[in-house]
Amino acid sequence: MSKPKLAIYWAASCGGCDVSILDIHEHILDVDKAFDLALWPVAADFKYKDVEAMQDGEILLTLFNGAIRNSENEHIAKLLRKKSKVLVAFGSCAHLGGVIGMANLSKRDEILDTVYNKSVSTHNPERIIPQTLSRVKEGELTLPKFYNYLRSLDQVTDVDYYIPGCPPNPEQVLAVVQHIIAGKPLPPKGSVLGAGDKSQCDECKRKKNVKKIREFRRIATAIPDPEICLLEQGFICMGPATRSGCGVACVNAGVPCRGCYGPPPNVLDQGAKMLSAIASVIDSDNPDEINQIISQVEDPVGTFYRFSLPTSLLRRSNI
Amino acid sequence: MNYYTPFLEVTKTILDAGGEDLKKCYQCGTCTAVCPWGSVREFSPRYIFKLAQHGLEGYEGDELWLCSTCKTCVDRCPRGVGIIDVFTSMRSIIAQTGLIPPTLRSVLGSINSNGNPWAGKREERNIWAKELGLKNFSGETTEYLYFSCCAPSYDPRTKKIAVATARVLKEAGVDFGIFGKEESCCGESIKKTGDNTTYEKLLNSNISLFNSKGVKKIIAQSPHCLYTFRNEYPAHSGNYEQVHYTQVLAELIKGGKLKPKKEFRKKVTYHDPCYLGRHSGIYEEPRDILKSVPGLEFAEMIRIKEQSFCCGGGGARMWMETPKEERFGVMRIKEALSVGANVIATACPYCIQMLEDGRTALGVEDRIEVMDISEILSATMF
Amino acid sequence: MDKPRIGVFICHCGTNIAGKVNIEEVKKYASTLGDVVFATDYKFMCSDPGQELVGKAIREHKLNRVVVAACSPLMHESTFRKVCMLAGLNQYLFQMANIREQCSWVTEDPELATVKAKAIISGAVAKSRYLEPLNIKEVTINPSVLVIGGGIAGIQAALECAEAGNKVILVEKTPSIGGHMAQFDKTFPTLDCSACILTPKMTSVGQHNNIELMTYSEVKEVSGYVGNFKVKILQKAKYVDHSKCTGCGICMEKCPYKAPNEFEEGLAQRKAIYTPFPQAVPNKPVIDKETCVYFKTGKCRACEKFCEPKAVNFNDTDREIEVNVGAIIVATGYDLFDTRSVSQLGYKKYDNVYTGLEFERINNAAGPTAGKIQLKDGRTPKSIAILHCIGSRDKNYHEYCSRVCCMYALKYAHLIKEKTESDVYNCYIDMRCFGKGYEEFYHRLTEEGVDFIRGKAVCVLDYNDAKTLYPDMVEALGITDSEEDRKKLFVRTEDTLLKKTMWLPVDMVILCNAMKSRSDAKDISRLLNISIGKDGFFLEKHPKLAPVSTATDGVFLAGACQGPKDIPDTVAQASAAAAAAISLVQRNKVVIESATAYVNEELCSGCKLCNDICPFTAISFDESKNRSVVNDALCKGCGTCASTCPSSAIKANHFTDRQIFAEIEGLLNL
Repeated sequence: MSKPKLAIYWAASCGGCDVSILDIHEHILDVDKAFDLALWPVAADFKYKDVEAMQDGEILLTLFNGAIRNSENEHIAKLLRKKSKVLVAFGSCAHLGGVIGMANLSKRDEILDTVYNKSVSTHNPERIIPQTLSRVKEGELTLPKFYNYLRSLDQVTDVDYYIPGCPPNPEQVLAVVQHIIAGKPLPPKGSVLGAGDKSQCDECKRKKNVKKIREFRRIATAIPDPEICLLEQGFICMGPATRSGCGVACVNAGVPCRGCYGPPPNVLDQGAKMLSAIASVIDSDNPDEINQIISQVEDPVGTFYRFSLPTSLLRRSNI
Repeated sequence: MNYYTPFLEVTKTILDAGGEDLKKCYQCGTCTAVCPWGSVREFSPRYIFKLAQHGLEGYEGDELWLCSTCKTCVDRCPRGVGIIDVFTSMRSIIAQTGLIPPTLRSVLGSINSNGNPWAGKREERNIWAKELGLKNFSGETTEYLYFSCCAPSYDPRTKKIAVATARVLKEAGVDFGIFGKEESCCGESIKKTGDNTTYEKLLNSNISLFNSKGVKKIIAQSPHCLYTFRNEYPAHSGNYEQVHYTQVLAELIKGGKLKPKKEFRKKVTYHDPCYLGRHSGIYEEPRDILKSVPGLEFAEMIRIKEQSFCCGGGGARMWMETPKEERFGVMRIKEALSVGANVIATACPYCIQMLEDGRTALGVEDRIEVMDISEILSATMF
Repeated sequence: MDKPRIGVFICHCGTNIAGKVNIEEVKKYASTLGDVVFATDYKFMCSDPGQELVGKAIREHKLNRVVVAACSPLMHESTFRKVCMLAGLNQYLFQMANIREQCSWVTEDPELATVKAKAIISGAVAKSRYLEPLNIKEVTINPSVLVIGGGIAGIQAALECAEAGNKVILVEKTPSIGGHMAQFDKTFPTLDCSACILTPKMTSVGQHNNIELMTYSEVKEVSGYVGNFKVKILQKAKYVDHSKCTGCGICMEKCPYKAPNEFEEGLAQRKAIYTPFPQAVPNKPVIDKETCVYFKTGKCRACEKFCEPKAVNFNDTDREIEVNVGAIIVATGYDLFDTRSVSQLGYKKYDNVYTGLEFERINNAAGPTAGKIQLKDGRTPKSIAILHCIGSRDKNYHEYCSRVCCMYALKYAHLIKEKTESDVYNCYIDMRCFGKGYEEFYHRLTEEGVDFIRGKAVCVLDYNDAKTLYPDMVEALGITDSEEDRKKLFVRTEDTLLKKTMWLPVDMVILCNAMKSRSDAKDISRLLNISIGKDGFFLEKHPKLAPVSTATDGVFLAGACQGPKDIPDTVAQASAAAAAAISLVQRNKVVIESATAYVNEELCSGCKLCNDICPFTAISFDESKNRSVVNDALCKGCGTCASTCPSSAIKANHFTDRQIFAEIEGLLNL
């Protein structure tokens, strides 16, 4: 009997997720032993048509990383859905939209203009912008359509599980893969795998006191006390509104949590929840002083919605 | 037999002209009782307000022009009525009909043709600075614009205070320049005449000059100019850092960059100008300067700081006739004499003129001198 | 939970709603909404027939959700909750839709008002689908009452509660009860002697079996909730054992050190060991540690030597006492405006410028001058100006009217006229004589020859300053340089009726200074979780319908701590507060709100973000579990913690995210 099939796909993302799979080191051999690779564009040469030729549900497990930015992403997402028994949104981009989801603050044309005209390193005097269809004398050239805005995987197709993180913690990835290899029963559909059910604070060893914030500080310009809760010190740590599971990696390294593991189970909107929490503990009754304190928050969207803008209540700016 | 009934349309005209606060007045009489006029004649702002609240004839009479905008009443008013604004709005209604006092008409004429209220030629503006070798202001090379007020160019007495200030500033190494004939009156007193058209013309002409030349910081000689730069110009996109010259000098003395050298062996009292004190909250700097002068004996009068007694020159009173026995300057000189001062110092060109006038009217030239803070400082420097 | 069967009841509120909103159209619309099985309207849903209609519909249509579209929940939520309960439905399955205050009253266009009413009802219906039944919680009530403040308000409230059979703990900051009223001479308009009517009440307090009097004490901490407050009281060291002291007074006689007498407004002195005044309750002294020389040098102990019962105890210490009470009456009184802030009036600068309270003492037979109205040099004044509205009705200080000054100014005028030949001038803005017998008193005073000048006095000068600044005036008023004239004060005002600036040369000036909130009102408000209004005084729950209640259940207000008041109003309010407290504590049990928040321990990560934000201090932290905990008896269900909790571990019952989102979607008709 042949081995079950595994697909790993890289849509709109940076590639870090693929690397995180390799970060399970020698255990990759166990994966190879357990699975036949059906598709892994970054590691092996497969063609889309090979996948298209498969039976529906022929692939046991697909780890899909990256968000849906263009028509190719969407096409493959739907294709893999059809061919896979278990489709996993792997990493922040597939899960929540990810860092690149902040592009939803800009219109499509603005993005293209920045990339192809305005960026300092671009030399494009004729202002050529990629087109979905170009006629040349040899015939027609096509490119995938660049959508108006970015979506997470589950905004275009049905998803079975989520593995959060930017990138996911390799140990957690390994645990999930081993669980599946061992054929153990799977949790209810829609579950978040490889993560905890509480917030980061549950695992964080820093000393926590009652919070009263009078000043916001940035890690770039101030050195935090290594023992005390970062938020108490005025560093905006997304830990309280972020699902546990990464082992509090950033905070242990002295850097505030950025929130890549996404919201805890009951939270609908990670950024809004954190904003509301922080707003409640600003220690002032004076509107002017409050404004002054709030004005110290640099880049609010990048702080509170760094990974989750496309799946938040906000989703995107108007198109 | 006269029959009276309120005429609220007239009231509404006043409210619409910027006198909204008229509605707040509850007729307690505080304004009347604190008004400096009460010391010399009958004058009841409260009564004018009551007439205006009813829209009855009489509010527009000659008394409307008495207010010197000293702000004593505004600070004490239990209802927070902007009494000066109400007076100004009532004056503006009268100004529209052309029924303003005749002396003011010639002032406005001079403003329109020369850009100053003193009937002096525009070309002669800043003539006071001729021999001082001051540089022309340019935003690229100069830090401060020194705004001397119109008076020094056309009034020989005030000329001395601008000269004194400029010399001291220069000595202290302050980087400043002046404008020549392009500059116009700041407009403070013109606004108080109620002639808003002329006032706005002045404002816009100065702001476009300042902005085009890159003015960022202004040192004002006159508290009236300071007040206008601070409170009126910003709403017309004239945003500058404005300081009074006493603030600059006090800071320099404090920092040890300016040191009064010679002794000044006189008993000096200080008269708080309304626009420097009550209107701008600057009370300590002039006193600090005086107290830093060696040999100077400082004595306070009874009515000081927030309770300072007006010289009578504000609110365009400068250009209106006041009978000798009603001049505030006279009373102020008497008060200074009562504390044994032989110099009354102040820091406003209008106050200087009004106090000099009081001193002459009283015939006490041999007993007391009127000096600007800058003149005292200059006397100890050069 | 069964499938929702929703009933919608639309109230006309006479023409309040029906005059603007098309009820028929709204009713039709409501019946088309999902799960709505019954919709009807009625003229006054809150009336008996209206309530019956709702109850009947619940039973007949087997409704399991009820939406009443009418007024604010503040008005009638409890009415309809009761209707539901009587019809066998859990009261938390009821939802109010406010189409009056939030719709018909504030929308001009009837069509738009109708659209808005539909949206509001749609929101309420959508929310009601997700309502969950909640358990009704009852707590028992401690029958004791704490009264804070021993002025006339506290005395009255304490006596009323004690007479009703409740145990009362009366806490007073100073060494004796009595408050400001004990300092007054006569009371307006009846001119009863203040001490004569007050001291019997003070004595009753001291002797009442049900009253535990704690003077020289302050409330330091209040925790708990309606019916079950835990109160920490700091009993300051008195250095005299009152259980041994006989109140003989020998210690005060022998004590060699003196301090300004607070009770005499600093116009006289008292000893370091003292009772504030002769009729003090308790009439036993305390030692003022700041003044007593023993505490400075370790020597003296004169009082101890002469004390026969050996009551003096220099080793006494502050003690903290904890008591449990069911209700709290706040009667902390008022402070007086510091007249020095209006420097033009010459208070503390010139002799013979007094505040009202100082004049009370000067005029009081037991006061520093034995009741003789006299100037600092002992002369009897020949003219006195009484200046109204000092710091009151003035945006620069206190915008409100202090309510008592007009009347006590008249009282002073009368007493001056009674005791001296002095001329009396009253400089007033408006005479406010609104109480029973007040206008008549004013009339009487005009007949007694008091001169009334309608104008606010703006400055007071002494002879020297007047002579310097206004020599002509001094001369014109015929002021000589005789010794007597040189002690004159000059008051300036406009007589606004004459349009004339007036100068009043007088011997004495009395400033009617404003009543203001206690300087520590903020601390008290924090202790008790009660609000402070814009004027600085404690805020009642409703100015008309709940004037002695506060936002915190079980805490009531009495007297001038709620706003300037005269004695009749204070006593009336104190009795009202007592009645409210008695009616609460005698209920034995009280139902508390079930729509409270709770922490889901499974989700809480112990981040402590919620720990300090609860306005009712209902949240604490369980160190052993590393989880936050909500005390649901203290919780008012405001939802602050639920919206703060960054991991949504806190849920606010009756206002869950699901319910709120449903309501929003309903409002937007999604």
